[in-house]
Amino acid sequence: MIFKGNLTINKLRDGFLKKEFSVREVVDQLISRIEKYDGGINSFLTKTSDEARKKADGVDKKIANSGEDVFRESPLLGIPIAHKDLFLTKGVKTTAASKVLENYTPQYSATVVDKFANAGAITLGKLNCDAWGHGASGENSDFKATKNPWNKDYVPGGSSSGSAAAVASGFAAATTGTDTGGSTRFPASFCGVVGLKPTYGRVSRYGVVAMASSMDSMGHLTQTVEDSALVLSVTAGHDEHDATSISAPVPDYKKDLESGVKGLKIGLPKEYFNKGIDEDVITNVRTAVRTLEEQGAKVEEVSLPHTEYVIPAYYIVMSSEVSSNLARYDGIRYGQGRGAFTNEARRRIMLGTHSLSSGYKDKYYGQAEGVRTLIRQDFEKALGKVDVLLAPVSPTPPFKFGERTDDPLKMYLSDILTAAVNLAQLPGLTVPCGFTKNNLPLGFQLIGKALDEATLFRVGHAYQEATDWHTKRPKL
Amino acid sequence: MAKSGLDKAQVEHVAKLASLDISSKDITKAQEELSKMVDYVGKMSNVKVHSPRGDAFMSNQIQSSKNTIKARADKVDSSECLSQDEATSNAKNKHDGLFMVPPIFKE
Repeated sequence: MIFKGNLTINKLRDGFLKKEFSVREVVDQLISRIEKYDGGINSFLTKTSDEARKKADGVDKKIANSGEDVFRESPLLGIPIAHKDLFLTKGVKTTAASKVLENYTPQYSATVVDKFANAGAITLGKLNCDAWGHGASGENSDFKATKNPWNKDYVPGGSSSGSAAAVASGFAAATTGTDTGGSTRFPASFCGVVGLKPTYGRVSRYGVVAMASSMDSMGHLTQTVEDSALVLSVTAGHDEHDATSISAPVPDYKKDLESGVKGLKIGLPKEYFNKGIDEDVITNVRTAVRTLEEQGAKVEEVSLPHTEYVIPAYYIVMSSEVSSNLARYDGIRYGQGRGAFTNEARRRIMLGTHSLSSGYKDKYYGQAEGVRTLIRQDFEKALGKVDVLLAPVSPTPPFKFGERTDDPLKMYLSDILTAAVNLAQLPGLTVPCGFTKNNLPLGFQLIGKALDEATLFRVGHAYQEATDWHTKRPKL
Repeated sequence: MAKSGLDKAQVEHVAKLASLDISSKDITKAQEELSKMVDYVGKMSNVKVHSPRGDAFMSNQIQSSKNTIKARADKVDSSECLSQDEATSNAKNKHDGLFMVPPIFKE
């Protein structure tokens, strides 16, 4: 054992600089760890170990030749990462965890993948997820279900199931995730790690298998908020290949990280703490709120009155866009034919096609977009009064395999506290905040104004400075 | 079946529009699931929405004057073009470096 303790980017970088270990040693250690433990967790679909070793040797040479300066040019130099299998990786199989793409090898990489590579990160492989990003539990992978590293009888949350499980298991220091209705924040909460959903358009969507194009956000998972901020400074920015990527300059997310929460106003949306939410979840999140109050934050209740319409509006907008995006899979240019779609994708394609079909589009799609505007206005109003919102991520603690698979609607309701943020295109950050009596992780989410990820990091970091939940790791 | 549900013919129509083959056994199940969803989302039908509906692709907050959508120049960048071999590299059926498509007319 060369590297000890929690796998954070900051710790790795310090170790590389002080020559406590080489990049190759860390990469070898993680590859062995994945070999030893991932058989029981199923977070990886493809491993790129040989490539990773080769790249690690190259980085070690670079460090030996150029010294500390190389870390300034390449902020993620030598950092072991892995990508959700929705991110296209040139020359490396990319399946979206779907049988349709089981033999697909992209001819180009996603912008985010290139950005990680240019920043010096080393990719260990591709991560499991719900097929096409459709799911809240990880059970919809067409290949194998990822397990929760804290207790393998429980789901890790989805759709970025492998991404959350890999960070929780200490297989990689950062992983990419996508978030269309909660798919990064939700599994982060179930696995006890930090998960960021950036503002829509802050990070390029180019080269990522599309789910619902007006909501897809390219996020990432890490062990600490500090690392999350560092990764966003690499992935954010305008990309000419994605016309919806935002041209606003990328701020220095480190600048206010240590500013604390004194005087900051935190709003608690009352609809997110109501009867339908598990009592343990509420008690736990309220304890986290008190911790922030003790740090000097001011807390007040706010209202998001259209919350009860979030799931109806989200499932219509999302499935409509899904049906349109998945229409391209005809099995001619790449992939298997449409017969290879499995249940959940078929369900969403059918619902979306119906919502957009002649005679129904005003009733469903049109109405859902109208409701979406009201939901967005709720957030604008609430965030006009406070700096940031704080709420639970999931209405329940992690659940067991099979508990919700028989009833799609029950599974869809898992998204009730996360999907509004996607409809409103705002940023959200999951921060771990404790455990259930059964030792399963719980988390809260922070929701910010458009493009104000910096405040989310500031509040999340202040919380992590005051607590040690983020340092707890499962015994594999 | 719920009031706002779909009948069999509607499910078949949707499957045809979506280019999905559907067996008679699956139709019943799809009918049940779709009807349940359609029934559930029906609860938003009474919400009074503003006109025009769906201003949605990017919110005003994000798309301020500073952040207008920027399209790239309409120019060909040959360094980003795939060769014919690359472009067809994932196709199951090829002929002379071209994609093979299913026949449109039956013999």
